Amino acid sequence: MKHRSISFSVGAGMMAACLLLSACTSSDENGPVGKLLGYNNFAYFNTQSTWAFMPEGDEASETEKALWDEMKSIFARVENSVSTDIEGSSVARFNAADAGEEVEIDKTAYEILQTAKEVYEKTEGAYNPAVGLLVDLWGFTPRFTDSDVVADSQPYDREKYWEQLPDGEYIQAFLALSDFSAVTLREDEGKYYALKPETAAIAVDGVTYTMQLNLGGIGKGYAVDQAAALVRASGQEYGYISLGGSSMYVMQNPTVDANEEGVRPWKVSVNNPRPSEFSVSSYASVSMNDVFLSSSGDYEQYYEIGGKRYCHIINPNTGFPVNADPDSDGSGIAIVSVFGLTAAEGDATTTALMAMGKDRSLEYIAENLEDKDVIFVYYDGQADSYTVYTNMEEGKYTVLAEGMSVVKF
Amino acid sequence: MALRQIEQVKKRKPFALWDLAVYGALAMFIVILFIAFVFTADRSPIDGVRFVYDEETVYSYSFTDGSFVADGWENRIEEERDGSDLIVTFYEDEARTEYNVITIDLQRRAAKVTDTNCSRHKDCMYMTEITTADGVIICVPHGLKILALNGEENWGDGPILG
Repeated sequence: MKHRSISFSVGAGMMAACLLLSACTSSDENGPVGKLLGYNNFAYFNTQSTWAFMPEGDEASETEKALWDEMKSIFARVENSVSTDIEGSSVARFNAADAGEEVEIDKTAYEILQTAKEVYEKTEGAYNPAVGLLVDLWGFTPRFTDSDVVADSQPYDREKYWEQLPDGEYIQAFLALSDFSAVTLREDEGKYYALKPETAAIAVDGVTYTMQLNLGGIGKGYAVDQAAALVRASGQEYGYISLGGSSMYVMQNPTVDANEEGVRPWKVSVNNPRPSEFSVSSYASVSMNDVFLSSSGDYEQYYEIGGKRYCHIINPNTGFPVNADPDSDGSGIAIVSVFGLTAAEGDATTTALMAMGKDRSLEYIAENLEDKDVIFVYYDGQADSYTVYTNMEEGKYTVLAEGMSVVKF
Repeated sequence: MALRQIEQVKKRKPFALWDLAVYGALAMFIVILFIAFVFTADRSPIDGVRFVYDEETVYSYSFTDGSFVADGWENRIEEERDGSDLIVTFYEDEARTEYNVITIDLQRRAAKVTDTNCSRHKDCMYMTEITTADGVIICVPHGLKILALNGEENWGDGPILG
């Protein structure tokens, strides 16, 4: 969103306000240092991108406007690289390729795929971007979620996918196509390539399908990483960058007093994943500064069949949406947030934690994220209760949802 | 049944028990709706207003932070200051033929539609002006919603994760 200052003829009033502001600043060095303005945009990743920042004076400078323009070009570049529905994107070309074919991809896709591979290996496949066909089968690709996207129907489409589960034959077939470890990447003289494995093809009812990648989540994180690097290089200290609310970089908050350590943390609200159960918009708030934040949950894109919630995050082990395996009672992580990884790593890791479930997640966090802050909400289907699990220090977080118990680990 | 017989029956028994039960339930429903909408409405003063078109906030005006225009809408939103009024023109189409004029009274902190070419009746011009947090004006032909701003654009409040 673009800021436009309006020059009102209230010079005397503004002058008085400026004098008051400077008086406040000089008398208390730890007090707020100014106000915050920002931009919003809805053009990328079919979601809202935000850059909030502290302007010089009362309006954005040319430098800040130029930074926002550069940020938007980063978002556009990443989206044009990883979007499955933009013809000619690296991922769209990979998805269209035959099994055994090597596809030239751009550097952005290459770097994202490298990070994806690292997290895939680290999480033992709990994060797996090769479940693209399953995401489509369950009805969560842009041809279902974005009314602007026009795409051919598929043999496995249901008339009302939100009322009918997919055919088990397709779930098993597409699961067999999701061996991301078999995708190989290589760089040669400044060009980048991804090989779709020879084995990544399967026929169902006479139609051959090949492995499909879905890098939407990690792509947003990568874009935030790039935008944050740009903003930090420009010398900005205040503000935050958010892409879709799930990937974020927060710097410092100019509107609050500095704390004892001399920093001005943001109070970040974390979305309540069950508004029907808890009448608050945020289940928790956390105090953070100069850190990347990532979040995944089962509450934004989902539908319910027979009282069971089917969300957009697919469990790569079962082919079903997380928390909705056939023998599940709905227990599972409803939302998980990680602070301190890069945004790309964080996006992939939170997706993996959703798929791991509570017990495996707690082990993974203890082994791999010991020095990172993690908070998640676990739903116990048997007890019909919600519990907040966190390793954060007291005082760094506040649980706002009455009725959620807290477990420190 | 002859009309006279009907009249006689009505005289003896003007309402059946079930009729009374249905009328009672309806009356109670209306009272509940009245209580829900009148007494639970958020009457706090507004921080500003925002225009929502096709589920996107395309413009907002905050009494403390000024105005914001969404990217790509610079040519379809016009602002003009007239005394204590801020007059904002919203063009629904790129050709700028379909419009709503919204007057934001900066002193009284109120907003209303003061001109439009949306339809013959121009219903949005006669909707109650927005002065409280529950206020809303909708222009159906132009797909424009004008809503109260309640801190959403106060950037200093902090980001929402998730």
